[in-house]
Amino acid sequence: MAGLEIISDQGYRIDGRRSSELRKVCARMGVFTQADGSAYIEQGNTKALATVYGPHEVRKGRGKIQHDRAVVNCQFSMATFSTGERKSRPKGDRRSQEMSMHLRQTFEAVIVTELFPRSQIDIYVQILQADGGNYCACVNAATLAVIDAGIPMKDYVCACTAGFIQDSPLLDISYVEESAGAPFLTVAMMPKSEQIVLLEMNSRLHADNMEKVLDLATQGCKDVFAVLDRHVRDHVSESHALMTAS
Amino acid sequence: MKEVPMSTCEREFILKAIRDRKRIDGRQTYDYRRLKVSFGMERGCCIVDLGDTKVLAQVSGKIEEPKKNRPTEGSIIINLELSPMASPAFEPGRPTESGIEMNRILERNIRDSRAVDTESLCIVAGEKVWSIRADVHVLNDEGNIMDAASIAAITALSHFRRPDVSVMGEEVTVHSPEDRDPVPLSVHHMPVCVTFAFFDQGEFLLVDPNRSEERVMDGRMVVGMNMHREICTLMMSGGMLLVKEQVLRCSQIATVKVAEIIELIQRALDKDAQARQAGEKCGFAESVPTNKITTNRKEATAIDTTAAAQQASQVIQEAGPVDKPMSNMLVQAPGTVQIGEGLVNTWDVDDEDMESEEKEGREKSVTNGREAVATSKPTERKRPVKAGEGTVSHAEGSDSEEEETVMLFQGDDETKSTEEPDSTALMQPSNSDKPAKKKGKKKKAAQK
Amino acid sequence: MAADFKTAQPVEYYRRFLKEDVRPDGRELGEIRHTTLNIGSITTAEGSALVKLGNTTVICGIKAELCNPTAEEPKKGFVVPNVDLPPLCSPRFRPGPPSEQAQVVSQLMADIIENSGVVALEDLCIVEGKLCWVLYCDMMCLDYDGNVVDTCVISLLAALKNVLLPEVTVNEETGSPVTDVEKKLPLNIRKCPVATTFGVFDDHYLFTDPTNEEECLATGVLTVVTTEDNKICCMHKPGGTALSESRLQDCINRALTRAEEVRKLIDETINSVER
Repeated sequence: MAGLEIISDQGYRIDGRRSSELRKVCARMGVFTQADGSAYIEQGNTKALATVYGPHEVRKGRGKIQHDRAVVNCQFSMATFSTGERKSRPKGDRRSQEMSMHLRQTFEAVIVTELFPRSQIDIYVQILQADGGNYCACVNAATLAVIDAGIPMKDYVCACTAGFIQDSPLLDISYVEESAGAPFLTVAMMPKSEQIVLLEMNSRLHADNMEKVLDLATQGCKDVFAVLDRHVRDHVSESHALMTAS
Repeated sequence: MKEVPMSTCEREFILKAIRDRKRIDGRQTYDYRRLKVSFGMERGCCIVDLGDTKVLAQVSGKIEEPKKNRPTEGSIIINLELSPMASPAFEPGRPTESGIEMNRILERNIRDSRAVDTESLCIVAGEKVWSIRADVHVLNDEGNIMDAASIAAITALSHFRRPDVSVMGEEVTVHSPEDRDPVPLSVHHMPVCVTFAFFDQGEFLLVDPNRSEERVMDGRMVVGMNMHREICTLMMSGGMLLVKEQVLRCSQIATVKVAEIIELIQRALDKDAQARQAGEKCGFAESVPTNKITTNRKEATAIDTTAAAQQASQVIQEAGPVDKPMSNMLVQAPGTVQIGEGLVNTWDVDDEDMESEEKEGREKSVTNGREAVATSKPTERKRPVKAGEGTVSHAEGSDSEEEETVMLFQGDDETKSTEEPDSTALMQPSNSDKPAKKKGKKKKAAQK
Repeated sequence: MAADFKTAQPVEYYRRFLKEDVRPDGRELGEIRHTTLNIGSITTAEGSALVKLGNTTVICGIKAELCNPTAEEPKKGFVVPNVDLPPLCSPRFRPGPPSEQAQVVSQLMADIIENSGVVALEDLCIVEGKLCWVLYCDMMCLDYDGNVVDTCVISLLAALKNVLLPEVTVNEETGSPVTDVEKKLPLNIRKCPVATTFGVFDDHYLFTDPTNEEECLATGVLTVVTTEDNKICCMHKPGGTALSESRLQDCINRALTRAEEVRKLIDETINSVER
């Protein structure tokens, strides 16, 4: 790994960004017809798709029915061609199961499940190309998809990563920076109330630097929220225009 | 098998106690339970007791081919087994979601933070490397498996010795322990996990939750830290919402706790090293104290009772003086004495007395004992007894008593009437005694 | 009112349309939905293509790996297709192991690749008996609205045309392969198979490119795969109502026309991406 300067002397990263810049975010809502809600998001080179089905009747297993709220079921899967080396097990390995579980916990906390007792909401997320920040792209895509499906949520959930390399915090880590072994923190939060829904950290980070990195990640989440919100509003006003015109 | 659900009472009780800053087992909010680390005979085997939670870790090494993209590095594999021995909730076979999560946290804590140097595990680049495997088994689940497992894993890795290997050109020789002393793994730092349990949407937090606290908590956060105050892993999930300040506060608390724990681990490792060097016997058999029954033995825990003692003395003071005892002893017969007031007893103590008393008490109105009479005489009880048999026994006439006896009372003093059936309900139990009593009375009456 | 009728009696509803030689979505019996093709968007894969046939969306990614050929066929490489119908594409697919339909389509892909000879397996061999390429073609359906077979075939063909394999030489001393990432060569595509699917309704009506609803109502399905030299390389008719020879010939003619259109589309897309 030697010879790869994560940050050059002028403060530019490998892909030309500065340390507190997000990658370009492109989002599309309502891409699929079969699903109740769907969204596609591109964060730099990471491409993620999310579809939402529901709320519908609980299909498998009577035991899962909750009498006072909806059951949220998430599945995370990476396409076999999404990583540099072919992934032979797209789902079922530990990392995917852990991600599915985290997604589920995140959305259970945010979706107003009390409005749909005895029903099930399915969220399926698919990564088409992985270039760092997989979990974040999933969460952002799933948020848009849930909004597209019309399921009420307490607030948006936005996620962002922040790392700490060569004594400076970096925002929105890409795959190259991830594999350099530096510590990075993944934060999923509700931007308006600044409440953290999920927090995950890898590698070693000194306790004193924790606050800086956490602050940067929070800021990143708020930036992502701004982009997503603008996009949702555009999409809704377009649809509205189409409906009233016809 | 599903776990027994926790009753609402218990749940409420624990929550209320936590809101009062008290814990069920008497600990303070940031206190750990008693932590004990012991080693087995073999190198790399370690048992950790955290209160009643018991976790066993065993480290083993194997020579294998390295991964294609990392030809000069060995591999560390950490496997956490939640065996059904630990709790009825764990089932053999597929690990549950929480099991997978804990496994991932352990992996991230030790492997991703480079606690053990993998480059030193290389023997021949690209061909042979050591693959070290740490198996952690949970033997008893009394809450907070995460911390115990992380302590066990890193301690076992520090305790483990791998066989020495020498490379001469193309030849690789693995030396047996008799040949050359086994070599320890190069452990850079010791990351230990500290679990925080949150209640009431993050308002109250506890360190080292036990089983019942875990079932009641809203969510938890696991902070993995080492001696140098570096955070090795951080995991917060469980559908709870936190703010940044809480996260930072937890990391500060974790710093203190981790320092204590690592000191304890070091001491245990040193003691074991000394024991081995001195040639003493070491192992689990030695670490368990002998001549004692080890199950169902409770560890003594110091509990602060000053508050309770104060309250108790206050209550005593407010209660007022104690009443003097009343003495109304009644000697019924030699060897039989009676005190007290209230219900007439149904023992057929002495018929003569009873008869005479009845006659005396005829005029008096004796109710069902509701009126406190100065001398309690078990007088008219017999009548209701008989009447309970069925009809009024005027017709029977055989018992002289009946004719003598007069009243059955409904509970009113004034009314004296010969209505019997109503008050039969009074003395049901003595129905069976009736025939005997009748005969007894007859005899006595006859005798007299 | 129409919606009520459609829910209550879908077959009758459909029949009424077919009598007038149209279908509910306005197409004629022989018309095929809009086909959109996008190639090369997944940079982590050696070749990729995204195809939208109406609403049905399939993305195909091709990854190449090196491996040893089998002892029986030392001069041949491998092409391994796999079709995935995940639960996100339609509510009818549940999470779990691949459904029967996914397996059938995967096998159909394998048959098409073998029968048509789209890629000569000998071209994938680097060193005879020692080293060869294996191409993993993973097709994933993202939105299921009928006729996934046609879409998969188009995406597979486009992705294969899009593949760039690095040049591999074998180091003489060590015997290990050396990949030259700088030099990349496209695959030699011998034939271009294109599939057309037909649905049969009531033993009488024949229409191309069924949507999801039509597939559920159809009494039979037929897929014809043709290559550019007007040869049929594969026909797939899994049960259903019988077809006479003349009807079959109609289908084949329609398939040949369609195949031409699709090939032009693929070539146009490739040319538009300056390589």
